[in-house]
Amino acid sequence: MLRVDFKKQFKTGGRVSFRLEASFVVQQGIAVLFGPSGSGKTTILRSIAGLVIPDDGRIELDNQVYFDSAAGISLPIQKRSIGFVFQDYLLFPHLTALQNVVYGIRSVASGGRRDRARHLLEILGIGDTADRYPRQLSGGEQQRVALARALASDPAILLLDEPLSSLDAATRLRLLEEIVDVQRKTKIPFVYVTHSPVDAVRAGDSALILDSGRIIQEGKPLEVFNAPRNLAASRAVVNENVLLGRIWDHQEEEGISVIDLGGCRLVTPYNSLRKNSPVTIGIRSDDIIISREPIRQTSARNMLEGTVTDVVGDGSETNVLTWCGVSLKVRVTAQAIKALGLQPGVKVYLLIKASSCHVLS
Amino acid sequence: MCALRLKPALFIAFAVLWGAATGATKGQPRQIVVSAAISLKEAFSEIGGLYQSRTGGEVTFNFAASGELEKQIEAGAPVDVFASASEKEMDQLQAKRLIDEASRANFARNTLALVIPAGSEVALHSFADLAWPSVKRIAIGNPKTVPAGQYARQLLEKMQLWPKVESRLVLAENVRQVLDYVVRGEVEAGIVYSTDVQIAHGKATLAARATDLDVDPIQYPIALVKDSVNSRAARQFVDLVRSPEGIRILEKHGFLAAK
Amino acid sequence: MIWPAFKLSLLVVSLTTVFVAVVGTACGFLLARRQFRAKELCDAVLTLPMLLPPTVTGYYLIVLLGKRGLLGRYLYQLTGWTPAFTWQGAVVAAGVMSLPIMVKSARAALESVDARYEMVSFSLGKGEFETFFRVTLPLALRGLLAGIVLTFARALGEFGATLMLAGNIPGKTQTMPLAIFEAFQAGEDRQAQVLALILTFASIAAIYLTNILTRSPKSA
Repeated sequence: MLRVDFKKQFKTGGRVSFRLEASFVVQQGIAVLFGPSGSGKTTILRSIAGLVIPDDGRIELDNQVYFDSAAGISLPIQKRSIGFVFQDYLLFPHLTALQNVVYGIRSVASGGRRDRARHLLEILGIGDTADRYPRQLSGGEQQRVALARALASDPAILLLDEPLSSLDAATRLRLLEEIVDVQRKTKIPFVYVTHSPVDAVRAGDSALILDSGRIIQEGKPLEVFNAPRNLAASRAVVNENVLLGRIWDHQEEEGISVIDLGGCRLVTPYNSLRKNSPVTIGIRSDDIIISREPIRQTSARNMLEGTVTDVVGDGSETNVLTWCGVSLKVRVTAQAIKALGLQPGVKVYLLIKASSCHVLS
Repeated sequence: MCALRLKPALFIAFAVLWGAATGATKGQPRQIVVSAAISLKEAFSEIGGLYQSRTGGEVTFNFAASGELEKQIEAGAPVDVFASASEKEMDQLQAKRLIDEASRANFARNTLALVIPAGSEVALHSFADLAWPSVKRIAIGNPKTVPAGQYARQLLEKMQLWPKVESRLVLAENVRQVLDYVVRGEVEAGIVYSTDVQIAHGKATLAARATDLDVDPIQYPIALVKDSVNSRAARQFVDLVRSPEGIRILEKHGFLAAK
Repeated sequence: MIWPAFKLSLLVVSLTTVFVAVVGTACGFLLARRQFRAKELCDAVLTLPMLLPPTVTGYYLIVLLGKRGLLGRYLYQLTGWTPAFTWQGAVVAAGVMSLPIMVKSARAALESVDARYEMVSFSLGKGEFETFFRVTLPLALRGLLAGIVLTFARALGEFGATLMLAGNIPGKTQTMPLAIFEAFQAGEDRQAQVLALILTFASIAAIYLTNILTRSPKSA
C-alpha cells in the first residue's frame, strides 16, 4: 500500500511559481493520475520515486518509509523498491533488449539473470527481440522492453509516466491491455500518469484528478469523468463523457450499431468492430439534450431514462449529473435548469444523437 | 562609403609596415649583430655600450652556448661577429669557410670554477670532493654543445673523477643555466667559468678554481663572419674588443689576457 | 642515443597517457555533471597549460617542485627526492601539458551523454559508481578515446616544460624530442633524422588508430 502526503513549492526568480500538494492512498490495482500538462502529476510520480524531494511530508510504501521530513528521512532512489517506466522509454542504446532487462535484475546469480530476463521479454510477447538494439525496435517493442526492464528489478510498485503517449492508436490499445494484464499478474500497485481519458477509463481502477498542483477529485474513473463533483474537476476532465461497453449488435443496412454499456444500451453509427469486443465511447456533455417528458418522434436514436443526481457549477458553466444506468454529465444553461426545475431526484429523459457517440478506441 | 576607402587605406598601412620591417633587417650602415658565448654577456654588453658611444653605431647581441651559435651561423643567420668560448666551434666554421680567417684571433682566457649553493651543508673545497656521496647532483654544460661542458668533462676525466660522477650529472644547455641550477639549490655543485661566479651575486660560493694542469687552456677566439653586411663596422667592434680598453673591461669581469 | 631516448619516451608517454586518461576523465566528469560555484574558474585553470608557453609552465613547475620549490622542499625533506631531473619529472611535465586536452575532450564527451540514462540506472537500483562504468562511460567512449590519443600525441612531442623540469640528461630524461634537439645542435644530423622519422611514424600510427577506434559503429 502506498501512502503519499506531501507538499512542494517551486520557485523561479525568487518567487513561488507553483505549489504542489498531494495526499492519497493507493491500495492495489492501477491508480491513474490524470490532469492537463503542468498540473503536477509527473512531479508526484517523481517524488514517489525519489527523483524529486518534497519540502514537507511523508511518503511510505508497504510500511517502509521513503520520505519523512519530520524524521529527516529521505531514501535515495536506489534504495526505493520502485520500477519506473519513462515517457521516452530511455532504453540504454549500447545494450541489446535482453541486456537492458538484465541490467535491471538486482538479485540472482549471473546465470539465472539472463533466463529471468528472457522470461520477462517472453511474457510481454517480445522474446524474439532479445538480441536487437533499441534503435532496431519499433515504438511498441521499445515500450515493452522498458516495461520488462522496470519489472526486472522486482519492484514493490510500478510508476508509469505517460508511457503510451508517443504510440499510434492501435498499438496504444494493445499495450494498455497488456499493462493491465501485467498488473493483474504481478499484483503490485501501479501509478499511471496520463492526460488521456481513454487510458484512464480503460486501465484505471481508481483515478485522481489534478489541477494546478492539487488533487480535486478521487474515485472510480467512470464516476470521476462522467460525474465530476465540482467545477474545477469538470474542467480538468474535459467535456467528454467516457463510457466503457461492448458491441452488442450491428445493423449495417440501417447504418447503426448498438453498444451495451452495462446499465443501458446506445445506438451509434455503424462500426465494423466484432460483436462482443470491448469499445470505449465518448459523448460530449453538450451533445445531450435533457427533457422532463419522453419525446418520441425525433431524429435522435437514443432516449435514455434517468434521474438527476446533482447539479454542479455556477452561472457560466453548469453540468447536470444524471444516472441512467451509467453516469452521464450534461451541459445545460442556468436558465434551462430553472425553467425545467432540474434538481437532484427529478426524473429526466436524455436525448442523444447516434452521431454524437464517438468511438474513442 | 567608409568601406570604399578602407581597402586602399589597409593596403597603404600594410605597405608601410612591410617597408619598415624589411628596412630594419637590411641594417643601417653602422648596425651590427654579434653572436657571443653566454659567459661574455656582461663584458661584451659593456664593450657594446662603449662602441655605441664611440661610433654611434648600434650593436645587437645574441648570447647563447657557443655550439648553438655555431649552428645558427651554419644555417645562415645574419651575424657579423662571432666570439666563442672555445676554439672547436670556430674551427668548424673555419673549415666550412664561414669566417674571415685573417680576422680570427684569441682575445681572452678563462678558468673553470667549482661552485656550490651559498649556505649549502655540503661544503666542497676541491674538485676531488665531488666524489662524496652527499653530492647527489652535479651540473655541467652539455659536453656536446657547451664549451664549458667540454672543459668540465676534460677536467673530470683528467682527475679520474668522471666514472664516479657520471651517473650524477645534470646537463645544462649553457653555462649560465649551470649557474642557475646551483643558485636554485637544485644541485649540490656545478662547474662554471670563474667569470660566472660574480654574476650570482653571492647566491653561489666559489669552492675551487681549476689550474692549467687540470684542463687545457680555455681560449676565446673572435672573428668576422663572411658575407657580413657591415664589415667595416664589424671590424671596428672586433678592434675595440682587442684594444687596451676592451681588455681592461674583460679583465674587470674576471677574464685573463689571451696568451 | 636513439635507443635510450626511444625507451625513455615509451616509458614516459605510456605512464603519462594512463595517468592523464584517468585524471582527465575524472575532471571532465566533475565539470560535466556537477554544479559548484568555482566551476568555470576550475575549467580555466585546467586549460591554462594549453595556452601558456610551455617554458612558462615549465618555469612554474620548477618553482613548485624543485628542491627548494614551494612544494618540493617538503617533498625533499620527507623523502630526499624531488621530480627535478628525473624521468618522473618528465612524466609530470608531459602530464601537466597534456591534461587540458584530455579534460576538454572528456568534458565534451560526457556532456554529450544524456544525463537521463543515469537517472534510469539509479531507478534500477544502481549506485553512482556502477552507473558511471556501465552506462556513462560506454556511451562516452568514442570521445574519450579520441581525447586519449590526443594526449598520447601531445605527451610524445612534449619538449619545453620537460626540458625545464626534467632537464636534458641522456639515458635519464632525454626523451626523443629532446634528443632530436641535442643531435641537431651537436651536428649529429643522422641521429636527428632517425629520431624524427620514428616520431613521425608514431604520430601517423596514433592518427590511424584514432580513426579506427572512433569509427561509427555499423548503423542499423
